[in-house]
Amino acid sequence: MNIGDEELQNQIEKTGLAGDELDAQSYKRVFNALKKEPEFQLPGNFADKVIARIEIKTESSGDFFWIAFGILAFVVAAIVSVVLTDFKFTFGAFKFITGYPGLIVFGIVFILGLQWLDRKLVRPSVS
Amino acid sequence: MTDDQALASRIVKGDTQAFRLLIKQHERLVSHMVSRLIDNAEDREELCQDVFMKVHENLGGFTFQSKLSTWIASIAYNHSINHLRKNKINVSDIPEEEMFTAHFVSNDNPEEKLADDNMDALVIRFIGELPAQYKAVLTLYHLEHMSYPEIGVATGMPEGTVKNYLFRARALVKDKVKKYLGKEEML
Repeated sequence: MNIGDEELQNQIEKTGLAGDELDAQSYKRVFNALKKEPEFQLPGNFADKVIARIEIKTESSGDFFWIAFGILAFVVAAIVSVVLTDFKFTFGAFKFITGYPGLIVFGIVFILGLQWLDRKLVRPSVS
Repeated sequence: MTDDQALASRIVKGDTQAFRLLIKQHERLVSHMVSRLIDNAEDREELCQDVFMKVHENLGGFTFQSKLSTWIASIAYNHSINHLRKNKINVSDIPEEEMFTAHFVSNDNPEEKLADDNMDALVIRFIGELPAQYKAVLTLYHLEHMSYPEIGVATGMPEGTVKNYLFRARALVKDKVKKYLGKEEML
């Protein structure tokens, strides 16, 4: 930017007047356009939409409290039951899996692979 | 206590009507900033909503070291910049002056421009091609009538940078308009 540009900008900004030369006329048009409001306008019910979102957020934070409370109560009840009944944890019917460690590894890799394919191929094509 | 502080205090206590009033007072500022920085029309309203959600969330911690409008403008600016970054639109640095000026002024389609009768719309389109930081400074100065220090607070830029960006942005657009007007005169 040179001194001429700076002076022209200051002059047009202060007085609104510009000379006939091309630089001045161009600046005049730039300053006129800069004063114009953008075409984009928010809808009349914009404030209602924001307030509705805030109310939903407040309600869901209340839900979160009750979910956390429920989970905590469940864990406490489970621990108390285990202690009172002297329950012993065993694999039971799933004991056979311990003989097939490869099957467990395959299962985990297969599920992770499906998730990866879903993210890479399916979701982009849907959106 | 100022009017803004009284309003903020009511909002923090849960007064929905007070927040509605705050939205009405500042929605123009937020929509100007968002619409100048974000090209995608579908994203704009949601981004404006996000800005006011953030205002509501953080108002309790606002210490009124600056004007409320300046603080809201800073949220709108930062949220828009983050949105551009998320969408992988480069907003990190302003390119080197000479190279960028040459690229900016020459990067156009003369035939398309000549078909555009509305000069203001054409200049607005040129402004839309500027880097996001330039557009933010132009918007806050020309549409919101903020001072250099206020724009500095809203954008996190030093005052000298604000002045430099403002002059440079106007000069860049002027060069492009001048090129267009020069072509028109030749026809």
